[in-house]
Amino acid sequence: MSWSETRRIVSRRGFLSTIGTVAALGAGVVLLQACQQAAPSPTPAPKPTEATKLAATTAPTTAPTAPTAAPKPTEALKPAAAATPTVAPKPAASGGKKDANIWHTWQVKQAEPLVNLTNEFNTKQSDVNAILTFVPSDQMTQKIMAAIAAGNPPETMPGSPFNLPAFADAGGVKDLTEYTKTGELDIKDVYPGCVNIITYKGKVIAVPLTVGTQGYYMNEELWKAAGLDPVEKPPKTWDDLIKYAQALNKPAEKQWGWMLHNDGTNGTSQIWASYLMQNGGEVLNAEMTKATFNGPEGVEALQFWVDLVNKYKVSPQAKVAGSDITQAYGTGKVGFFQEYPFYLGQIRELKFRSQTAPLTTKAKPGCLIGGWYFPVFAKSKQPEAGLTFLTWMFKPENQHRLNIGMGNLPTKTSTVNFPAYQDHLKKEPQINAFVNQLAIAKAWPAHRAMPEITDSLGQAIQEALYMRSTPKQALDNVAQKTDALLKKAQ
Amino acid sequence: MHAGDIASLESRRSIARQRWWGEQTRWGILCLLPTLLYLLTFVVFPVAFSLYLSFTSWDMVSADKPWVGLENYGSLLQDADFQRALGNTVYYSVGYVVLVVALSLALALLLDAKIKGVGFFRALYYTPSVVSVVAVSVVWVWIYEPTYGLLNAALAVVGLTPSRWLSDPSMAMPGVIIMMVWKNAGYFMVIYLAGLKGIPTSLYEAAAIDGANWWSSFRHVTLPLLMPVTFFVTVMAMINSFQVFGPIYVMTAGGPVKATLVIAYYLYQQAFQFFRMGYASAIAYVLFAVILVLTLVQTKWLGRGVSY
Repeated sequence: MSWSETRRIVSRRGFLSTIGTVAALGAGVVLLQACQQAAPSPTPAPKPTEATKLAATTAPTTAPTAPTAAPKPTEALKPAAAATPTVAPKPAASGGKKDANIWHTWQVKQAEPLVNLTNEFNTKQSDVNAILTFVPSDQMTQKIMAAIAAGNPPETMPGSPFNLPAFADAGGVKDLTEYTKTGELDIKDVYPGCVNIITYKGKVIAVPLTVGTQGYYMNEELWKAAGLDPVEKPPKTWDDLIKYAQALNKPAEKQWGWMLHNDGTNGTSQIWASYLMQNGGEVLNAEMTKATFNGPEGVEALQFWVDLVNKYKVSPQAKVAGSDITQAYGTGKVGFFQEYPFYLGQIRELKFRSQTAPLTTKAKPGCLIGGWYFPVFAKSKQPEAGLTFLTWMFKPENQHRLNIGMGNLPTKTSTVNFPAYQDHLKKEPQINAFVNQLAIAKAWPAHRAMPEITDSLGQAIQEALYMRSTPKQALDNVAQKTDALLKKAQ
Repeated sequence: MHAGDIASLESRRSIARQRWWGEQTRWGILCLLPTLLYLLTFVVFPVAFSLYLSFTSWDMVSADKPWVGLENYGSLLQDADFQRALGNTVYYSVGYVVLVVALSLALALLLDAKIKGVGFFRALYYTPSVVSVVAVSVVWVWIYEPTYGLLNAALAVVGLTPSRWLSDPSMAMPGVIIMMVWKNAGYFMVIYLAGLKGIPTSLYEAAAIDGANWWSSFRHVTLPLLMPVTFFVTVMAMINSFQVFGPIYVMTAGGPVKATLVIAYYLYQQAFQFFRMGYASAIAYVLFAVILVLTLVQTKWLGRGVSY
């Protein structure tokens, strides 16, 4: 073999060996990394910079095919840190502390109290290092489902009344009942509506930290111009609602008396459910085996809404989501609307003054309660550390700060009665309309089929408002579907 | 056959085997391995796994994936919402494909001319296609807003009756189609422009000598020679249209009264809102089958005369 031939062969082999080895190693590393993240997903974890741009850039243009991978805490921490001026918790355990990973969906200003309290938690005790990870709200369900399926969930995250039963049925959450008996997690003075949400099949499955009831937001200027007094004489009955909405309604000036939620989603059914409850109706029977929202109380409650839109024409027959309502209200052309308390922070920025009032009463007071309830994931690495964080946050001296900062409501009387929170209520009296309903507010039934049931209910409400079917027909159709879902879930 | 012939044949086969599994082949496979691993892990496996899931009633959380056979596919046949979603998707697809092909071709013809500032206009029409679909959807929601929206204000100025657009069940889907045609026409325009540049000028000169006017040249020269491009654009637009999700998610959420409920959005709801991953996987495979059949039909019909 000549020198030139040897050089050619060695060169080729050497080159291919090097490239092949590097490429194979690279592929192996990528594969291992993907396996470590362990979600059954073809797509990589979102980069933190993408996460912060969620609303504008990250929604898919075509159908998602599978859940996305679990976010990396150290990466996803960055958006939360960038979104707030405070120093975010350290992403890695330090000084022998156990890590408690907390995913959350709150951005910028709203996350600030959580970040501040987490920083305080990390500095005030030496056992647990809490790590916040921002996850865009519309991706949270997919990500947590993927993480649970992969056996790698965070210690805790805010769950909704909708997804807690699904987590629990899959054995995904830790049973906290024992901790309530020992007093480590004291839920004795938690409001009944919240207790219903965190109790599933006889077990306590979450810590209720921050909730919301519904109330009316009223444009004081428009009310006074119509000869109404939102402070002394807010609406108390359904007749008041019709009368006041008519007085505020000025079609020629493109001014709506009331703007009803009508996007055909569970957002619509959440607002309508309060009228079902006020009329003495229930969503499901006590055994949760049959729909009852299509009873006379429900039909009358939906007829009330249909009349508002089609008979009295005080609310648009239009696809109206919650954001559409708040934006329209901001223009000063909406007399009043119904929402949770998170909008209180925004009304202060408007050019006109607003007032708030609790919801009306018919057969009885009625209001649906929403909110965020933190389960401890059973398959997380340090569930005890997660519970330590939550019980610290649940103390009145911490919980009241979380809720004041976030614009939500506490979940127990000891926090509401906490002196600093009472001072806050005196300074911001508009919150009282919401706080005063905590005792009577009711939750959705705790059933894993509720996401589909409430979505279908929202569509039925929309069909009735568009006069595509009568209230009775619309509700009966959904009731039939609901019964089938409940039967299947048994 | 003599023993020598057999030995020769064996020898040739051995050489062929060596050539097939020779050093070069092995190195080639090694070099391809990273890409193959990637494709197997992130494309082939998820596709195969979702096919398996379509025969289960997996809820995304439980470890168990109960086998239900063809039950999910059987349920789809009786699911009124799925059938409505399928009908709406076809409606969207037909409207979108026809309009986007026509508009992108028209824009390409206009911007193929040697006029001043043509580069600026090309960039201008192309711009919407590079903007996030979520961003433009949010903007168009406000343009379509019935009471305060820009479009109704413009219609009022010229004395036309305002529409409720996305709030009107009969106008919501046209509203989404218009927005998506506006967004994507620039992208397909660029492809058409490339196709136009590939048509030899000599053909136009010959047509002109034969007395052809603009329309005759367009009909007998431009259009036939653009057939490969039209075929590509139509197939791509059709595939994209059957997968439409972003604008529906942002603009209408499938409403009002399910007027814009399309398959991809219905799939999303089933999978990620109602945790019915098995059912959603079955929907995905039906969608895949529909797209495959339509593409084959297009290949057979449109693909006949695409080469010159």
